[in-house]
Amino acid sequence: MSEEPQRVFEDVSVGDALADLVKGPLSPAHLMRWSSAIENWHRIHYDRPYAIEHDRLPDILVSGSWKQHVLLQLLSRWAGKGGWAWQVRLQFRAMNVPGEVLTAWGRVAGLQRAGAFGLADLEIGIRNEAGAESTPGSARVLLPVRGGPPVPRPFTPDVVPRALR
Amino acid sequence: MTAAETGRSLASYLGELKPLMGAGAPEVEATHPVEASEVRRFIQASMDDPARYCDEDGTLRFAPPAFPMHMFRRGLDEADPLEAMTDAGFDGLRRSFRPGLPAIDFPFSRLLNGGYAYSFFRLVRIGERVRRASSYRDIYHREGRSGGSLFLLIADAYATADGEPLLETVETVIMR
Repeated sequence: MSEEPQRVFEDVSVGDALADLVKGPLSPAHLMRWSSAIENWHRIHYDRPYAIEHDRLPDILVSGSWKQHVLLQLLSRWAGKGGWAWQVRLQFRAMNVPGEVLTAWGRVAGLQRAGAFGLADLEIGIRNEAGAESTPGSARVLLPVRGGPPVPRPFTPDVVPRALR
Repeated sequence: MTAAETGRSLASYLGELKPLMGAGAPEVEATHPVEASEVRRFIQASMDDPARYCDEDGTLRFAPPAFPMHMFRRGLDEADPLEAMTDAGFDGLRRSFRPGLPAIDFPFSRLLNGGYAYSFFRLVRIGERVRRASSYRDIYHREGRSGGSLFLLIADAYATADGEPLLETVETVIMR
């Protein structure tokens, strides 16, 4: 995996698709590894008898917290080192289970100049190979303009005009 | 006993819980600083690109943007939650959402993560300490195809020990 060339605001158009980020097929080992890494002991993510027999789920579930990080990866990659994924909203609307291949996707829904930078409003989500959406959301990403400075880090919302915050 | 088994309506629980909204918890500091190996495991488990968090010589310098959310681990002096695993019905979750916030006295049988809203300010660096300030933002009731649920919104602000903002989140917790 490698960073894309730095994207500038002038090169982006409404309707542009972000490059998909594909993960999987996911196995129970992937789910167990995530639960262990964050010390999340919720049984529905690793205990199949509990998930199926007690909680009446179809299988153990891919953690929502794992899916959120996949979407943040999608946005960080698109923003590049000179941009900044500022605001993100997402909902866990549907379950994902082992065996699925998950694709994080995004689309540019709006663009506006924001002071010295460009502000992109994005639609985002995660679909499985059947096309079922599980994690719809939206994001606001600051991009540099051509010839302009990178978005400052630490990022402070003060660089965005008040009307756009 | 679950909420359904109590015979009480969700509206009656809501009336008791609504006054808790706005309540905050004392700021807490994560049990340990940002550790390189913990970040490595996190990057590998989330199948992220490590180059994004390394400097030019490949040394890991930063953690992924939402990593601070997962830094508030069990301290060495805290009870082992897995002791309750001998109860076949135990779901593995603690009932207190954040230390210091008032308890939510609602006998849910299932807890779902409804989603998040975030604002990001900067990546946390390896070695930094992280603090979290939490509060209840709102609680409301919705009816769905599978019955009624309570939606609890918890706001968290994460900052370094020096007070530099890292990120703010609002988590939606769904209780049934």
